[in-house]
Amino acid sequence: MSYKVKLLILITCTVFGFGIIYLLFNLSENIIHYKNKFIRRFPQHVAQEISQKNLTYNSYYFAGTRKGNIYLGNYTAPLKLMILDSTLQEKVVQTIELKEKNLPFESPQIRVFNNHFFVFEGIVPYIFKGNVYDWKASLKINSGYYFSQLEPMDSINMVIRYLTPKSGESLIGTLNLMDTTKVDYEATILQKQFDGIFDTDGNLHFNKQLNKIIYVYRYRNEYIVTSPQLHLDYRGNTIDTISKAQIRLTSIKNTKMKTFAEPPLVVNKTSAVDGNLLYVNSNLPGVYESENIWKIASIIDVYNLTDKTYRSSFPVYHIAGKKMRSMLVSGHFLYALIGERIACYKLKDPIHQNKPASNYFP
Amino acid sequence: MKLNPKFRRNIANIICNIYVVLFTYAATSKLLGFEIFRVQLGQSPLLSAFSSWVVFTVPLSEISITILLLIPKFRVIGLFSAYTLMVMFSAYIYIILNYSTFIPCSCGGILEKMTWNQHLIFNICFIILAVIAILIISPNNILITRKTLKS
Repeated sequence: MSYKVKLLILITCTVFGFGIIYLLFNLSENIIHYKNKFIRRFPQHVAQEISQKNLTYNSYYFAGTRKGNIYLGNYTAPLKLMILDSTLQEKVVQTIELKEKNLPFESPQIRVFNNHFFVFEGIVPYIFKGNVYDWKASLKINSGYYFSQLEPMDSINMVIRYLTPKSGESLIGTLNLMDTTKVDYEATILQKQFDGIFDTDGNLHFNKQLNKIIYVYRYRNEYIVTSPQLHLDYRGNTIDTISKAQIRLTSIKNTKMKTFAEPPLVVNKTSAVDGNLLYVNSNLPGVYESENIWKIASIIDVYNLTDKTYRSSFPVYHIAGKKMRSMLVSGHFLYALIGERIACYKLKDPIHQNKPASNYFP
Repeated sequence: MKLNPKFRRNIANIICNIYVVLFTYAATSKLLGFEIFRVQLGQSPLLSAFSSWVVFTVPLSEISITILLLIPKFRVIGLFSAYTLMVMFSAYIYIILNYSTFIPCSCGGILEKMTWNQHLIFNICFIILAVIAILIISPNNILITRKTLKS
């Protein structure tokens, strides 16, 4: 065999190898990608990026807003709080002091709400509370059920997503920091579809302006609005058509581990609430949408919580190929954590318009 | 290339043996942890739609290539197949790194400890090794036997 023949065969093999994988990839993409039958509307200039800031690390999360400032917690430096002004120009780093230090800290999270802040971790569990004037926190709760999410509703009442003992299913409840006997929960808020762990996963919010608890499911097209006393107001639907969580689980033999048998269909990746609007980062393209926009941006759908209608959608662009991780809306600004950066989008008035988008549906 | 034929054969042999070790290791670790391998493939963004048959094809082809490499007569075919399989693995990693919406975890054994980029470099090294072996392997064994038969 001459070198020529060998090289020719090598090239053929290379093309063949690449070709097969590329083909598999394309076929798989087409099979897996869900084609929806709903239409989004993208009004021009609803949201425009006005500033960006490099935070150096990608481990930040939103801890809250207060007086127009943004508070960022950091998973890898749990007691450092970064405070940014509304246009991301000025930065202050605040260290929180905990009075009780002998707890099994793993990854505490912080929430800032009005003049108070809370440091908590649901798998220990504990909740510290302090005020924003001296940034010193003292232990309020160090027992009770495990929880996975917490949002303050006022200075003493919290809405919490508990984990039920043994089964580990999620449950929405409330907690009063002054009177720990007042643990309240409502088992019917989250509706189990098959396992109660994955299918009920979602994002918990408290909306100050409307005084409502809002929960957005991750794997189905539904959000739940309840009063702070956990009385159900209504269940709303996001515009896509996935009413049943599409998750297949498999357990690995000889272990207790359960894992996804195939990538689950994420419907609502992350969400935010402000005023009477709900912002949802959807994962599902609708019809008449260019595929390109989904490659360069995260799509945010806006819903009106007072009349349950879909309003409009707008893109939040990826930065250096990184997608938006989480978002926060405060007044006329939307903040997005993208990779190591934070971006600020100005939301224009049309987003608050009163005309529901349902008129636009075919 | 003006390399001593004996030296050439040794290099080619060493590369073949490295491949035999790699593929035997890879196939066994997949088959031993078959359950986990099946689950991980199912989560792969590229292959989830085909995971049911890919899960058998991959270790089977690794074993068949090992056998080809061990039989001198089929060594060249084995090297070409090994090369193709390595190209496929690398293409897979490349597509995952660049086009996939998320990056899953898979691979068994020590390879699990590598990042995807390290893995890609590891694969490219093996591709280069295969090319070297293919290019320097002396006029293959089948031809030699034929010549001897004629004379």
